[in-house]
Amino acid sequence: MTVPVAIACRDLHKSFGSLKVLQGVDLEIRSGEKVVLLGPSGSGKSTLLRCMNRLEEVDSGTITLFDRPLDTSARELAALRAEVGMVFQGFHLFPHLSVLENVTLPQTQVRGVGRAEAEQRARVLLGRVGMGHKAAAWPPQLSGGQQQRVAIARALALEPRALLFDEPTSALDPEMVHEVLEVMNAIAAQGMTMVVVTHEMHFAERVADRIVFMDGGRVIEDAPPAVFFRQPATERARTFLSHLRVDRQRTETLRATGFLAN
Amino acid sequence: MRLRWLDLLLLGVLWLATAGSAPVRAAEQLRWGLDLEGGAPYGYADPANPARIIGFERDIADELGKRLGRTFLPVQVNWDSLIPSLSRNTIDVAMAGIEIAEDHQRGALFTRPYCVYQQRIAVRRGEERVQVFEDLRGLKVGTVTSTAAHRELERLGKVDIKHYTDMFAVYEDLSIGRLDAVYIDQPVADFYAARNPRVRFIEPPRGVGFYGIALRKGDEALKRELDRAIGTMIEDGSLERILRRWRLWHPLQDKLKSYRDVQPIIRQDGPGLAEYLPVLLQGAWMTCRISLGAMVLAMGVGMLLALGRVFGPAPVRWLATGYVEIVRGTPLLIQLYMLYYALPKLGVELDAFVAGVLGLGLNYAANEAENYRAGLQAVPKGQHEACAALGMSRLQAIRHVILPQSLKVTIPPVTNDFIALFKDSSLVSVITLVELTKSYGMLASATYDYIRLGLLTAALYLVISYPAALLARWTEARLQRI
Repeated sequence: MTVPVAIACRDLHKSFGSLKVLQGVDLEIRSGEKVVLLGPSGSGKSTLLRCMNRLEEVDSGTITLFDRPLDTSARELAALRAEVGMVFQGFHLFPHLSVLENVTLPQTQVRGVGRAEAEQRARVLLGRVGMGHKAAAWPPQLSGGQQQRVAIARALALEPRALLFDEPTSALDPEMVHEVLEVMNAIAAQGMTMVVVTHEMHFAERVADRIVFMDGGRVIEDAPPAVFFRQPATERARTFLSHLRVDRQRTETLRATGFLAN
Repeated sequence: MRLRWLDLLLLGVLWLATAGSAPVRAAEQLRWGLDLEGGAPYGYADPANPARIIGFERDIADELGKRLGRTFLPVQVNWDSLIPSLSRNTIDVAMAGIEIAEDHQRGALFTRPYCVYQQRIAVRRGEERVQVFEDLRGLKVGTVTSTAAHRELERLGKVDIKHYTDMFAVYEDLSIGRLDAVYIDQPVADFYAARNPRVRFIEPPRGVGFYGIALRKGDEALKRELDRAIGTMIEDGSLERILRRWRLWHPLQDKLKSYRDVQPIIRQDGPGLAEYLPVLLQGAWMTCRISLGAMVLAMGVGMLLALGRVFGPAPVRWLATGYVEIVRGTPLLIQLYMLYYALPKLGVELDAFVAGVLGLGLNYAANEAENYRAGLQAVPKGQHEACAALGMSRLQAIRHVILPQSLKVTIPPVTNDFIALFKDSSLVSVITLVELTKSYGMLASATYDYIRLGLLTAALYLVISYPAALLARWTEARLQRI
């Protein structure tokens, strides 16, 4: 029995002006899979992720979410997007709404859930990301790590079938990275389909089922982390990993001092 | 109508030519204040050659100039400001159909009269309600502020008086039914109403008044010179020739010969605050109503324009942008004229209040649209993306996320605009509405009590606008917390 395909990308091409960002990307992500997109900056990994819920339009190629094409009416597109949550590098919480309202609003607007029910569900979700005590706070009063955890709760509010993470910890101070990664670990453990663009190698190694390595707008390696990190098939990947050694050492140090949970 | 726009154009040119400082004059020149707007047949722009001033006063001025050995240098002055301009020394004489009457004599010295005139009632053809002057009670009557006709209407009481500066418009409004009657000096009436086939006069003309040349108080030498010159013009028949040429000659002009110069006894104590205040308060009330109505309209229409401009499809965007640019790029005054005086030509007749609110409101809508647009565009792209990623529709995103956040940027300039609109509301006086500034102008030109009236009027404006300014500051402070 095969596991159903959650996200399928076929021969995607995309340019920003004369810059070719995607040059024929094929990628399939099955339900429940955790895929980490790696690659040097400019390799197209964030663009690929943003194409998966059509925040960016591809120039050619097709994307299907749960076998439904993404190239469809505005109404159908909105419905599809609600099936796929997204977590941004910059959090993008709604600053004029309280933490609780941030998690409530999508439910009442998109799912038509009643206010009381939505709030109750929002409190449960905030509890799960460890933000239950800040329900009444306003986003600008929170630290970056706290804001990102609220953003994850907001993304979960619509009970999506997959989550897209676009460098979720890159804008955070180092001491806040782990609280967000912990939440992501917990979500992964519950079987959520996840596509993650990140530079956190430790997370990639431990959580990912597959590492998709991109360079120059193409997928050039697609392998389990054990294979990718120990025996990268391409020279490009080897160079990339050696450049990351400094970063890895930092992670090791953090783990050794007990700051980063194992 | 074409004549009217030409007049306006000429006024603009003349204003540019004379703006800034009083004209420099040679020793033999007399700076002659007159108002070309609605100036026919006294002194007005020749329709055939708008750079030339014609009129019976022009002819009299030329003749007087010859006799005095001086030339009259025309200076455009708003009619209401003619007499104050004498004491400000920006003109030497004012000859513009100014009646020798007590309230004018309080501010100026007058020569002997050069023309006798009467008042005429004009009504629409088919109007049967008006047979005699007293029938004007309870009707809407157009006239010119601080003229003998205006005072007579006030004395009659219970007349709904509408104030006009545009003599063409007053008869237009009569013919389309905005007014029931017009009561104005006969030379004006003969000149303008005669061109309007839908208007007729109630005969005979009423009253006897004298036009004289107004001079600076204390300018007795000039008065003696001019009196003598007018006297010789009466005796040798040259004045009669001029008045005949302009069809102003009638037997009553004989009174010019027997005119006795009587210096009136002028009350030293002008009217008091108690008499001003009710008039000013009434004007202030009109100002508030106009401003509030216009602001509500401006905010609503402005929001639609801004949404259209930022989020609409291309044709909507172009339309909204076109509206904003055209309305911002043309003067409010012209827009008011168009709404009130030009639209009836197309069959749309607006009440003056409605036209005032529409004019101000639609004009400010363009400004508000820009404020809202700035606010909408100040919301970061990430907010749009977050909404889209959550599966919210465009409308839901705008309503629940984008608009609320834009208010922080929008509200301070919008409240400031409200204060500006409130002051700009004085412009609606050009379409016959009597708001605070017009009330001030009417009282001031009747009493010359500029200082007390000015302070009182300014105080009233401040009393109304200051709370608005406080509100602006308060909301601004509150929004900073978001």
